[in-house]
Amino acid sequence: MKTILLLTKVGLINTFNLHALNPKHFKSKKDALKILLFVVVILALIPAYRLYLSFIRQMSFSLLMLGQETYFMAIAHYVAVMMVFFLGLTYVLSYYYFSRDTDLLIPLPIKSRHLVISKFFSLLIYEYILLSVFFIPVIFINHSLTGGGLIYYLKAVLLYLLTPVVPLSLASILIIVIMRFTNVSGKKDLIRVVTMFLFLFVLLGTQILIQRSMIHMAPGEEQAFLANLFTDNRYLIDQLGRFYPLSQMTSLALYTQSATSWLQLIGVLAFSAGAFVLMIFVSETLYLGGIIGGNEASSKKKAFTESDLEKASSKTRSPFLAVFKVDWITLFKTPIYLFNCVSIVVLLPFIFLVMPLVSGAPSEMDFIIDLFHDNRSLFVLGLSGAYCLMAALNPTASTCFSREGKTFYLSRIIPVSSREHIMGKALSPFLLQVATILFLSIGMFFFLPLTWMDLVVSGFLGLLGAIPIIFIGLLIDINRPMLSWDNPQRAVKQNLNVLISMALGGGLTVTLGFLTYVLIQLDLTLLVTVCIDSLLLIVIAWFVYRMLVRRLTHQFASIE
Amino acid sequence: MLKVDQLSKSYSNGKVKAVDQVSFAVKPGEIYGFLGPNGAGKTTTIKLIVGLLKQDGGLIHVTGFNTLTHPLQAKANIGFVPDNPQIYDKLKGMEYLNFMGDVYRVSKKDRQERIEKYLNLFSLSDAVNDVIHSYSHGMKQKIALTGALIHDPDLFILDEPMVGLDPKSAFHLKEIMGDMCQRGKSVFFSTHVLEVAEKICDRIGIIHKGRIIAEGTMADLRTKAGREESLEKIFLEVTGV
Repeated sequence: MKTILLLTKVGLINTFNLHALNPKHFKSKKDALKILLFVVVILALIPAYRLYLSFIRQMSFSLLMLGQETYFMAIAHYVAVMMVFFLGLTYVLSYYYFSRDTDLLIPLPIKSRHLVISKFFSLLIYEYILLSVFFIPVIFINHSLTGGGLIYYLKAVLLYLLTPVVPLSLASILIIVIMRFTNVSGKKDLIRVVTMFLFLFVLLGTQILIQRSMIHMAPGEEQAFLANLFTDNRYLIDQLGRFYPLSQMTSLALYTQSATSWLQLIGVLAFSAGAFVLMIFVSETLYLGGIIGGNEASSKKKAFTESDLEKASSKTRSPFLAVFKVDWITLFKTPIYLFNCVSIVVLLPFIFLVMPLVSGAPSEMDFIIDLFHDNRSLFVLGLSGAYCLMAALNPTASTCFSREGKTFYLSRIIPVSSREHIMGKALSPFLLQVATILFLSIGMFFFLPLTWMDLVVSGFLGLLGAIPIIFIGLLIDINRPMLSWDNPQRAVKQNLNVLISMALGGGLTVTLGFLTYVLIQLDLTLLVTVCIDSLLLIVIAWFVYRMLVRRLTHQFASIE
Repeated sequence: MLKVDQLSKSYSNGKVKAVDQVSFAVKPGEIYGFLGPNGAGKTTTIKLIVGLLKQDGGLIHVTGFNTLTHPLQAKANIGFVPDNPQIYDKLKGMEYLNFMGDVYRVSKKDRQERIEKYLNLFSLSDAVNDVIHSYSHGMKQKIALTGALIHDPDLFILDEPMVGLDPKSAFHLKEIMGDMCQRGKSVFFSTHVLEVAEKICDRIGIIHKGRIIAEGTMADLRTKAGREESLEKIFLEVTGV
């Protein structure tokens, strides 16, 4: 246990860079400013958080009116579990397998079980922090539904601590198994990435089927559904409990003060302990097999002939294309970057288009189709706004310098101008935006009666809008690149630049969206509105570009 | 070729002077060895020259270009290999060399000639089609050297170049340095291997606590020491180690 605690402590200090938070270790005013910036970002998120609080409060009232208040905690728990599980997949992958401290720990006389448990604990603490923002208000609001005194809060604390255990254990098991059986020679990275994607689609597909089965209602059964809703106060929670008993048990453990609630609590404890023990068993058996040699790259040692050389160096590129090529290759060959930056291109269209269709939730598609028929112009412009939001959500631009890490010095010593650097670095996120728009356009072309012109106009604005958003991402990242990391996950997932860029890019899109809405209300034609929007986007892109050139030149010369 | 004038750099709000009014020059056709104990300011000076740090005071000119006002022109004439070259490890060796060729705008013909020459010299031909991630430390050092030489720089700057190189590659590197100087180019490198410095350097500068405390040819240093001594003894005397 001592070893596990020691490893967890070291892991936490290293992962969260805790020493950097200590004012004693501040080297300059800039370090103190970083903390201040963090506080400012948190404060800036307060309005959004208040919205969230009022939303869940409203939801709890609605469920209380329906007599389905037990569903409140159950659905919140279900969302929390899904969040921990899906985020956990990438955290586990990166922290268990691609963190550089693992290479240092493997040769030490430490049992693989201890290593995995300590890593699990570090991630668990991280999940508690993330979850607290979302889950603690739920506990308080749920109290207003259930009542109960100190016992309620003691049980709630225990259940909060248990919430991420099962999903994180399952994510760990899944990743450990995949990594063990894909640790083969040859194109290991490719095999792993393909396997991960397949699993992700299978998991999402399963989710779709479960949701479909939960909300599926045969024609004519609507009345029976409503009757059940009003007569059976456990109707909704029982529906959820058919597939997610853990969420049902968690809610019921808090809801009643009777002996049943204690049984439910014991059930949650047993589930969590079972998942944890299974994770330990799997890690004991498979972890080392997946990690030893797992990061090694194979070499062919094939002789390079004169004709090979002639072929390989036959093409000269302009410096900006050379910068782009390095960025692009690194993006695609680093599984963590591929998952965080590129997978979003495939997953977003899948979630937005395929899920509503396959899950049999026609209301969402009906809403889109109705909007399309009611106001074609608004739909086309709204679509381009959605594309811009997707550009803001993609972390490729806002991590492009951070991702270089220790090789960042190369970008600074080469004789490449700021303009060429910007073009080279902006090209990857831009191409990903092109791919996102293409995927969505092709999908929508089959589901909606859209014309080519509708798709071209929305695509054009979506691409044009992505340019200032990408420049904003680059500007934020060069201003404060996170270069010192031992785990590529930190460059993307624990990088505040991503959050700031998302907020700014989202803010720009919303502002332009509002302005566009005003233009539509003025009865301007679609063409005039698109022209005004384009002009505005070009002017904004130009201003941000000018700022970016100045900032990049300054930072390349002075970052220490 | 390289002129460093009153160069200063400090850390911790001026409390720690890493480089303190350092001045020296490296002439065309010269190999200049930069020596000093750990923490003396060698790497800081090199980082200032290649543009990885910004000086608090003083000027640096590379082939006549001020590094502050004309950084791109200065960089275009430098080939730099750091002490622990971290290079893009997801790229294949050949992709990295092409990247360096592209950013230094090297023509196809020159690129092919130089790549072939250095790959053969450093015995890298068999590995150049593999990803850099699979390379050993020494191989990474050699691919970094090849990348830094691809544009045939006027000023070749190396920080501890012999660390990690096998004897054959170290020998070839010394040959490359000599060849560059014969063609009127300059080499500036830091090292702790005093025998190498004594053998191949035209001039030597010794830095200690951020200041140049001795500079000149081996003969100059011996004259200053007042007797025929090895560089090792002179180094130990002047640095007081």
